[in-house]
Amino acid sequence: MRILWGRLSWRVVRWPLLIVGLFGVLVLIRIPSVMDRQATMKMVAQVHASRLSSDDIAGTHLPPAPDVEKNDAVLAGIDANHNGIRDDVELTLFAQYPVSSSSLLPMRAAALQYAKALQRYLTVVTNGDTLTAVIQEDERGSFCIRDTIPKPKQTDNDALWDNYFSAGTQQMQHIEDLVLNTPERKQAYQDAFKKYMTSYGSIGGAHCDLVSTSTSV
Amino acid sequence: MRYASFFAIGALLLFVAPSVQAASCSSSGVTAVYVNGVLTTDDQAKSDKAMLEQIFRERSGRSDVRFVAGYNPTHIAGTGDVLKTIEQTYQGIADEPMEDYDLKTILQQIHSEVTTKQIVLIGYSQGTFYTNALYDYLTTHGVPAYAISVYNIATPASFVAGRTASDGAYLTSRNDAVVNIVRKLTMLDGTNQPLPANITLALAPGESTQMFAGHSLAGDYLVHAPVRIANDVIRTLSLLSAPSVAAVSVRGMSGGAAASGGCFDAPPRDLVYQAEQAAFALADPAASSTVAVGAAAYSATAGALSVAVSLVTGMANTAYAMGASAVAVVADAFASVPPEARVAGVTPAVADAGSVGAAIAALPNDALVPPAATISATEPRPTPPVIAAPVAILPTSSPVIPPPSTTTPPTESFLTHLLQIATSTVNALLHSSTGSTTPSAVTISGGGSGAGAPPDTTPPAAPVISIAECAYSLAASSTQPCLLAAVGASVQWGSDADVDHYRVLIDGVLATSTAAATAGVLLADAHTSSVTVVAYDAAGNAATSATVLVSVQTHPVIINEISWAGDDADAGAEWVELKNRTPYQINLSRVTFVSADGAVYAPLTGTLGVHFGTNRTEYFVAYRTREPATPVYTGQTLAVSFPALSGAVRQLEVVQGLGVLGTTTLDATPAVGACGGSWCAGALASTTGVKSGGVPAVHSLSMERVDAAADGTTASNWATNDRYVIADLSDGNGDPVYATPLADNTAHLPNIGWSCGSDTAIVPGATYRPNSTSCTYLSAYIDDGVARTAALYGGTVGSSTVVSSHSVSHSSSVQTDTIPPGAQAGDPFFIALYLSDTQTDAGFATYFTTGATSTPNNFYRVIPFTLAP
Repeated sequence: MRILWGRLSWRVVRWPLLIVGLFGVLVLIRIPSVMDRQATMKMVAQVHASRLSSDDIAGTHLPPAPDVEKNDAVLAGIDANHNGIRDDVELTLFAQYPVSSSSLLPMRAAALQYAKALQRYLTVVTNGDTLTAVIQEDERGSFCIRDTIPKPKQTDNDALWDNYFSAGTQQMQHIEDLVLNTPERKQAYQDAFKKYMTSYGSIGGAHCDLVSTSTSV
Repeated sequence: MRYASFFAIGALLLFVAPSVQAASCSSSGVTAVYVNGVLTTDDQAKSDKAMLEQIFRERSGRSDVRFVAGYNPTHIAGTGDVLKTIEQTYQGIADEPMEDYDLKTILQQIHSEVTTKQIVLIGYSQGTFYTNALYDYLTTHGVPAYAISVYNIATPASFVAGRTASDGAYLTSRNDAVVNIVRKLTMLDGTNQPLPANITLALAPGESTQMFAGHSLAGDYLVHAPVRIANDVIRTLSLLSAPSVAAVSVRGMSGGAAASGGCFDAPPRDLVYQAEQAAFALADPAASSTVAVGAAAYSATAGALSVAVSLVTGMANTAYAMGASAVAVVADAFASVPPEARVAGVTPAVADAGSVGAAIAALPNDALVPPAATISATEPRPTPPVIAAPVAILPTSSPVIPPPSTTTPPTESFLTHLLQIATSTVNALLHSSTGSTTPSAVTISGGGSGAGAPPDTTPPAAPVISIAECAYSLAASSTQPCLLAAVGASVQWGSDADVDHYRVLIDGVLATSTAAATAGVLLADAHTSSVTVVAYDAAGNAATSATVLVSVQTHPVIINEISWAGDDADAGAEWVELKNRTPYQINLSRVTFVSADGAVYAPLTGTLGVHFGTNRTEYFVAYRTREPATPVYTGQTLAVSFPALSGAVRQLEVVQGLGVLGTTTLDATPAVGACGGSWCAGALASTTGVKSGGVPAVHSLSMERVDAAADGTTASNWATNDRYVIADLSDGNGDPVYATPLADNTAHLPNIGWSCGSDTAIVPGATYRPNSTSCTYLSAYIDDGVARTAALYGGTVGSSTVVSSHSVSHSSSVQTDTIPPGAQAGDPFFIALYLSDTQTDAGFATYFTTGATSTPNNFYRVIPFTLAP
């Protein structure tokens, strides 16, 4: 009787146990993927949350000039002041838009923002979601650059508008050349797209991290 | 078991949940989906989308349009895309679009991104096939036809889905080598020809020799025609209507709402799709790395390509008998190739790379621009030709060696040439990946002559046409269309006894019908027209001439500025500035500078350029004794002989010589009596302002045209230079020259003013909010070189705080001003400009902020304004 009961019990219990066991295995298998997903979501949030500070634009903590060889030895380069902008790029942009020229401050801020966005292609892209986040910030930076260029009137002729668009494109190309300054960095930039490119949409909101960049006397 | 089911479902959801995304669908706003083209690099697709979005936003001012990149990936290192293009070109619109893997992928990926009921699809190159297919899919899966529209750029497609193929529906350059090649090839059989080119975009130096010349979105279309593209997209948006709630509820799947959430029903990720996805996941990375390796072997034998492709795709279980079959294997990976489109019996062979180009070049050039096509959404679309007897049909399921060809279908030459394009593209890819300078090529040749059955009747010879006035075209280059300054033109051709009558078509539309060998036509101004003549015999057989492009731009060259009083150092330094109002370079040897009284007659030489980027080569100066002392562009000035302009007022003209046909007056200044016998503007040694200490400033000023588009004979269209001088422009004494040679005129600017961004200077008392922090101070009432302070104050004079202050020495200065963040609409502000030095600054600051002191001098101006909402 005891044996019979034992057999009956096993027949009843074994299926739920099997399902629970299978579920447990599935959960275990799924754990790395879920962790990756969480890490991705965290990284995406960081990419969108990381903005230029007023100190970044004022150059309060400008880094020293990096050693060229050490800077180019690794993809990310040297970012001694940890503001997301590679030191060699940051110093070049500050030289291009000097502190003494207040009218250049908005342009400097936009250039730094765009450089910071481009640097992320070399440091944070690990899948389609992070690439999309970086692209969206890249777009914000490029929009911000164009916002700093005096815009023609809607009634102005096409030539003036063509000139305006061309000026923004040239400025962005200049910064891209600074950030992607080695064959390895260019390759890493292109690889990020080759591996993870997908469809995506633009994000809304203000184009520039900091809009109040004027100086008053 | 209930628990078991619960756990099972829970576990299933755990796996499936990440791929399920909800999407909302808003009645307001628009989603613009950009689909990139074949061989567009992934990062370039990103850049193109961003630039399109920027251009559109800046031009339209709309912020309710969200741009989405509908990513069209490259497959098999680009080879797959080329073959896909061939298939799409050949297929046209007759085949079921949902058999396409990339189309499904785009739809699935954009499903959560498309959040508005109104959608604009913007395609580029091969992506235009997808925008057309997306339109067909979306309008049958939840999107009403009136809420979606398509705009295509550089399109090899023969139509724009849902739209009449008018200028605003697409943009294709006449210099687009890729589209031109497709056009030539398709014209062999009349199969799905690309839409006619509708713009001429200049090629960069050296670009014309490149295979894909004039086809780049970022390098050609968005550089040379950003405004046109933005305007076209704006026009495309204007075609949309938002679906009403009622419409949504009753239209169902045929045009109202998606059944599965979101704005449309995405295609399912079925087993076939997932198999294709897995195949590409393996093949694409492998192909990219294999191309470089394969390139080396490929230079020895074309057969290596078929091996490499077969290996990397992993899809070929059986080796095809001939090397070209490997290409068909790649095509098979797309799973959507209809049996009729798969052609075998073509043989790859090692050949000189030039053979492909030569084969294409041998095609007639007059095939480049077919008559304009008008295809409306309601009209039946062109039907692809029926292939009566395919060379060979490859079964879908199992690749086997096909039987040899026994017949020659009418489309064979077409397909053969398209395959030649494919192979030449592959060659280009191989060279680019290896950096090889010695091209190695594969040629795929057809198996037959391609000749069709002889016609029942013989058409007349095609007329060879010319435009009489084009013998004196103003165009500086033979690559530009014939450029005329008048709308009337005489079309001529040789008479033919076999011809019953001729029809003259302008932009594909009948202009006139005649039995003669010449016809007068009127062409539209500010437009490039295509002129074609069709000869008809009595039996109705027709032959069409080559197309001649004629651009009419009335007043293409104008007199823009006259320095009749010279400068402060030399009153004899007289010159006349001309301006090119067209997008074309102008041959000045066709232009003569004259006066109505005949005293001035000066044939010109050289080239009048166009405004491109920062180059202002649209200006040209004809000077009498001394070149304007400015850093000019080489070739933009010319010494000509004419009587002193300061000695007598004259009506000046520029005319175009047309040989025996006469002359056309391009532009003229006001008649001598229009301004009481004096020059209508400009000044000789006139008191113009103040210097330090209140000393009067005396200068000679030029006569500037106010509006280049307005009539030059109107007196009010001329004004005296307002002393906003060009930096670095100086006279013989090193002093400023009060004129704007080779630069935009400034006569419309006020003596005192302030504005930000692209706004015009505000008037005192205005309600204004700057749209930019980049603000311009105008202070021509103070002479150049004299220090002044320009400042923005919050408050009113005597009770204010300084917001920003700038020391400047020039009458036009751009500074940074920002309205304080806490300022409210209605708050008073004012601009202060004053002649300053170290003795006066403190006094003015006190006067403006507290009113406790009087002003140190009287050379100050104030522009009060109220902050707008």
